[in-house]
Amino acid sequence: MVSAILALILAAAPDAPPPAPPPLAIRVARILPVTAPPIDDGVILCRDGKIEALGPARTLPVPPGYTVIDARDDWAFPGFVDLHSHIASENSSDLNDVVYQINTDLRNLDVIVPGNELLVDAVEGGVTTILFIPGSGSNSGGFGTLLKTAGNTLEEMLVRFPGALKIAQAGNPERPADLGRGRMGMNWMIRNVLREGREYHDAWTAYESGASAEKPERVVRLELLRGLFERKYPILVHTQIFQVVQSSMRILHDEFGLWVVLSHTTFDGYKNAPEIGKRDLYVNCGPREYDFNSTAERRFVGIAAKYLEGGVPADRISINTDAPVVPESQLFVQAAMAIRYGLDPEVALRGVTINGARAIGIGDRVGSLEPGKDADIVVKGGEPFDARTPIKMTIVNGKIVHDATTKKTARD
Amino acid sequence: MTRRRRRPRAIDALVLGAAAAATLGAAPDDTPPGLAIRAAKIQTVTSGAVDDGVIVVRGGKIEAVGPARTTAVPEGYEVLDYRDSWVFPGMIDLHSHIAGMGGDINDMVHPTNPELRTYDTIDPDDEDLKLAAAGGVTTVLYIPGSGTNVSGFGCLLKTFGASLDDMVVRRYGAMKVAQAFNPERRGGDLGLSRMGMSWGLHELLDRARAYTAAWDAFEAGRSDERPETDPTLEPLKGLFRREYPVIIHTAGARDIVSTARMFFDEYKLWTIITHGCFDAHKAAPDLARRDGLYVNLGPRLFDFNPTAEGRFVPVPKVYADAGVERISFCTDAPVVPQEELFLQAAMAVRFGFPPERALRAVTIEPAEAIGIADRTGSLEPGKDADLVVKDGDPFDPATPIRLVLVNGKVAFEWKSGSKP
Repeated sequence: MVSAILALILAAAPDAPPPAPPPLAIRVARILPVTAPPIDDGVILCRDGKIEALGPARTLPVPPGYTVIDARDDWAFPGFVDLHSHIASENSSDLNDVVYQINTDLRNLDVIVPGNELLVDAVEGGVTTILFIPGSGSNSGGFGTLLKTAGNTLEEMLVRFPGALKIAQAGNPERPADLGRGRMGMNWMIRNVLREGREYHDAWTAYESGASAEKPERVVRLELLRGLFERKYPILVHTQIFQVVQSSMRILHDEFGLWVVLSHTTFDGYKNAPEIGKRDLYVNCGPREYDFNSTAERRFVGIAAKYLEGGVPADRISINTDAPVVPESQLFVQAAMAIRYGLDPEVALRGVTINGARAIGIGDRVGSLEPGKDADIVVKGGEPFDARTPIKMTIVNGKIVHDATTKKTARD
Repeated sequence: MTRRRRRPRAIDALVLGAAAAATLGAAPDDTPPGLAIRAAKIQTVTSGAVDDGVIVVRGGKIEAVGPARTTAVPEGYEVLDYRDSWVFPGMIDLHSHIAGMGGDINDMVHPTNPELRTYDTIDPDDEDLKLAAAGGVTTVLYIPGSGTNVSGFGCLLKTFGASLDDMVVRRYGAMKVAQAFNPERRGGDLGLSRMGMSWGLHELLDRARAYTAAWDAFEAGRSDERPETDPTLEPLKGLFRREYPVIIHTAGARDIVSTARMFFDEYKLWTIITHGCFDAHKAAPDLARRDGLYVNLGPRLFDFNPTAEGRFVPVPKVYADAGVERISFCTDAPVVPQEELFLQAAMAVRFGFPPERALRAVTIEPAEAIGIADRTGSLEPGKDADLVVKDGDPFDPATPIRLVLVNGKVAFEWKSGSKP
């Protein structure tokens, strides 16, 4: 039954596309496609919600019938992607349901309010795709939803449900008077539900393939865990400090073989970088972008820079806000902070665009400006991480959803 | 102290290796170079003492130990000159809680928690581990606390390493049991008294024994019925198969006898009694006649007996005099700081424990008790190069530790270069 609902939802987006916006031609001083070198005095053509073509203005003519946006003093780059965000519901009371330690039967798909104030803030800050996830009040807060930040209906916004399973390894879900007081208890419960999920998935797979005649009983709280073992979507795990990041890596990835995005990864978690770098893992840094290393170095160190330096590949590091902890519109400031503390600026740009998109499995749709991808574009009066120049325009799925010159916003 | 050439340390190798891996995609080569330590005296523990000796180390293992005049140092090995110092094996503590955060060692909703383990809570960068290594303690059994009757499985690990894999000796080091004196359920639960607590332990061990027997039968082909996997009982199979021991927090003569009866006699488990303090020494003869039972004493190594004798009872000496053979010492760190394990042994000697057994009690005895004497606990060719260089007798607090190697890598080195 649950999978029937799921199929319906997954099918809803392609079956009922929103009416196509008029084709656009955006002319800017510089395009940062992210996955290709910058293009000076360039043009981006958008049609049917997708990027049709991009290139230098002198070689890429604008076909007739296109609305031309003349932004020849500005830069254009892909809409930002944030994998750790809590902003799509009415308020934060819908993030945590904490009677049980493990809540794999919960999902935040049903609590989304399109066009809420924080989503408008995201759009105006150039953030066009978010992984909207439950909180860290329990060891598993439930399933999150992958969304565009603009859109008047859930169907318009939805990129994927489930976006990811949220797990909080430690550092919030502790239960002072219950099982899970310490990390032994919390790690046991996480391992135990994944063991149950794996057994459940194996039993159903055996039945569906005809290897077993015995039809397993349907268990709602385990149903969506099957997708983890099929690698349809990952676990996004709230994890920080050395031994907790280490357990996330060893339990979720090594023991259960799952697709894992390590999120937060703060404090001295970066000391795991050489081990993380040996594995098929993604690191999503923030909201704190630095650690004060009080013992060895007695100085501030940049978290993302430390992961890179320690051996995590440059295409596996992304940056988050944990919005509203840091406002969603300040994702670019998070990247600037990472640069200030030593991260290569190019890695930082990838860290708020293509790296997050690939980590969550939608690198073919968003995260860079390439023909065929969603037309999610930011037009800004200068380079992406300069706090002094304004975002002039945000385009999502080829539609202008924020226009600073006319004060047109996502709500209009 | 003679000057020594500085050589790349393990930490440098790690950083350089990681940088190389990041830029070139090459695996770091962390094989330490061959080295030889020349010392005034080498206490091998199992093969006596060697005066003016040399110990040769390569690839994390000991290659040779012997007198300097007859032991060849291979070409290209770096020779460390410690001719004023002694060398002895890295010390081993079977009762330690320091490899993570204190809040992680007790999860107390249930009276028995065999599904829990400390493995996932270890911080390889923990400050106390660094102090342990600096104090010459190179292997610890990091066990859960005594807040419940079964608090989970402890991890056996070296105190130094580049990563958790480098450090872990055995993921399931031992199951921790607390027989009484802490796990009492004062919140109105079953197990307020020793009757309830004993019942809870019996009930768990009965189920685990039957579970193991069912799996043994299935795996040996004596039964076609595949038992259902029970994650709670799964780690207890290793107890009944004697792959790892149970270590029991127990004290006082009454409890220590019931511990020996339950775990050693009735369930025939590989058993380590830990603490063994208060008046438990009165039951020492009871333990002495159980061949193969291990006793791990500490952190309190004396008992003040105000009634009968009006004086301090030298606990380790009483055990030794009663004929208990397998004695090791512990700190229960951080109760006694991990780096002060040597002081525990010194305290035992002060109260009359034979000095020649005291060094064994922090090296080869705990190694044998926990089943890793083939790897650690003495200085013999083929064993892990876990060793301590100190300016004198291991238990003399007035002489400093100069150098500590763990798996042949420098875990601690005295920095000043001159005698204090």
